[in-house]
Amino acid sequence: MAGAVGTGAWLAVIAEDGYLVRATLLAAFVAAALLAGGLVLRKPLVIPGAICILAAPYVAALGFEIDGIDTRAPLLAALLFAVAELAYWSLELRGTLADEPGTYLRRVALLAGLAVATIAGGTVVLAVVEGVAARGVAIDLLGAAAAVGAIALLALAVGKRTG
Amino acid sequence: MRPSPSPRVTAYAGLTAIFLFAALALRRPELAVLALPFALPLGVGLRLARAPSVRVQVEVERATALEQDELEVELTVSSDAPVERLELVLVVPEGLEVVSGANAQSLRLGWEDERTLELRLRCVRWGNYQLGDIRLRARDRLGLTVWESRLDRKQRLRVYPLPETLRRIVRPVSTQLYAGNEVARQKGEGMEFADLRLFAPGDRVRSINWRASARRDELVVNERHPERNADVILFLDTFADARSGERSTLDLAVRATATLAARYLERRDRVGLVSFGGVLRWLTPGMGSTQRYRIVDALLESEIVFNYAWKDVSVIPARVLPPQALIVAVTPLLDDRAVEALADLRARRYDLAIVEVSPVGFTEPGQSEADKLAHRLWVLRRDEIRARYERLGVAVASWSDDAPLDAVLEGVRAFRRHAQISRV
Repeated sequence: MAGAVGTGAWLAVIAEDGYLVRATLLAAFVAAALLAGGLVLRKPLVIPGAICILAAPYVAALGFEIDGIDTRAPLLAALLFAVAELAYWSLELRGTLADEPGTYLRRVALLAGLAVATIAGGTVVLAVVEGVAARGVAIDLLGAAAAVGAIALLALAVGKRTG
Repeated sequence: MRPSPSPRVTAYAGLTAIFLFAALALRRPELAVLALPFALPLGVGLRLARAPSVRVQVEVERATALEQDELEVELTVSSDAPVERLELVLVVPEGLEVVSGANAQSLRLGWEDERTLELRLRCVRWGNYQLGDIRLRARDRLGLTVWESRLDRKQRLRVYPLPETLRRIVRPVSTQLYAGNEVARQKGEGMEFADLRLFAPGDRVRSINWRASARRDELVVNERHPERNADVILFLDTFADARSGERSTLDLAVRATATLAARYLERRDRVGLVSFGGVLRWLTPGMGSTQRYRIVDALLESEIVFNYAWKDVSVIPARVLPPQALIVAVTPLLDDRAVEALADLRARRYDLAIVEVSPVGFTEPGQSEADKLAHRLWVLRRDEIRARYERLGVAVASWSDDAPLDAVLEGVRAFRRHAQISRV
């Protein structure tokens, strides 16, 4: 919850347009409320919805405000990921189970590691994109094909696991 | 173990797709970066997930216990491969409670790791229990796949009812032929002095009472009462019970019946059991410690089974009710079938004593005037049933768990003493 509110606040701070600031704050409030409801009612389905709502103002900012590559994207990605993971963990760790000592520490360490990897990986991706941005339509098409391929591979993996 | 995807999988896949499609639509690589932390763990995690092989053993300290006893249960969990998070729940049946340790724990197992979990259980209520219903749930490191299984490591635990303190019991009117601890009313060879009579040919010289013979100036012999055993049938009414929280009249009735069985068997009496209710169960009379365990094991199976069929004592096999047996009924007197069956037994000239496990303490009168009136009428009707039995010469003692059973049985003994005098 605090992560969602903090992320929303940070997005509001970096937004320049007044209308976008208000929209960001509203989105953060809605996302936090949705997350709170989902956690109280133990409905994990609301978590991706809250993440989408939280990220929506940034998508709008990318479309209308920000020109060029925004280097804050890896940080935002790590924050969104942290919010999602913390929400899932709060659902998993709730209950009458007695946890072994060190469980929380290990989880926090894993989350921190994944967040750092996200920032590092995102920065590399952005650097690569910036480097190849001027190479023309072929590179654009290659990127699009890579994105579609990634989605297809994930869909296959998920379908195999859930099927 | 049965695998299933955690809610993360579909959520992360959906988020990845949304961000990547948005990146393509808006031609913004930053949105692809937003998809990165969701896509990478998903791809790597699903690829590396392996089903864990977890073994669990359950050991219970002992197979039998008394109510309120505490016993150790040891769970040994082992795995060949690491398990990031193993959630383990030992289902504790109702009637047992965890005193120390946790029956629901999460563990992290390494390569060829073995853990021992200890917990202490208290036996709250008598009964036959099966320990060893274990639910397992394992998660991979990223929490993407969940494996669940249910293990049944059957360990039987018998919890016997806590015996009540009982110094004296209800003595039977008639005795049987075998030697026992009960002084018979008949005269014969025994220890207890009965009467004097004139010497007759065939009398043993050692039975001559020389002091009395000297006074009367003729030979007088002592007559004695022999020590015999008795047939005792414990009649447990299982048609209905009154329950309040964890207390019930059936619990008290089983406890009283087990105590009575033990005390009568100590006196070398033959003891049988009739569990008269929705399901009829019986044990033919027998003696010794084997019979005691048979009775207690049968009592552990006692339960209230609702049945609307009318039953009377004719459904009880004749060999279970020997002639001249003392029948001690333990009943809440809630069901008319049991009430009529006991009256029927008395009509068949069985020696009958009733321990009424009072359900009054398990009920509340209610708030409205009508409820209070109904409660009063119900209590009055119970008094009327007791009075009816007393008119038939049957002692009825009302027992609730705040009074010792010994004191209650003293009332039965007093009534029966009075009844014997009035018969003479």
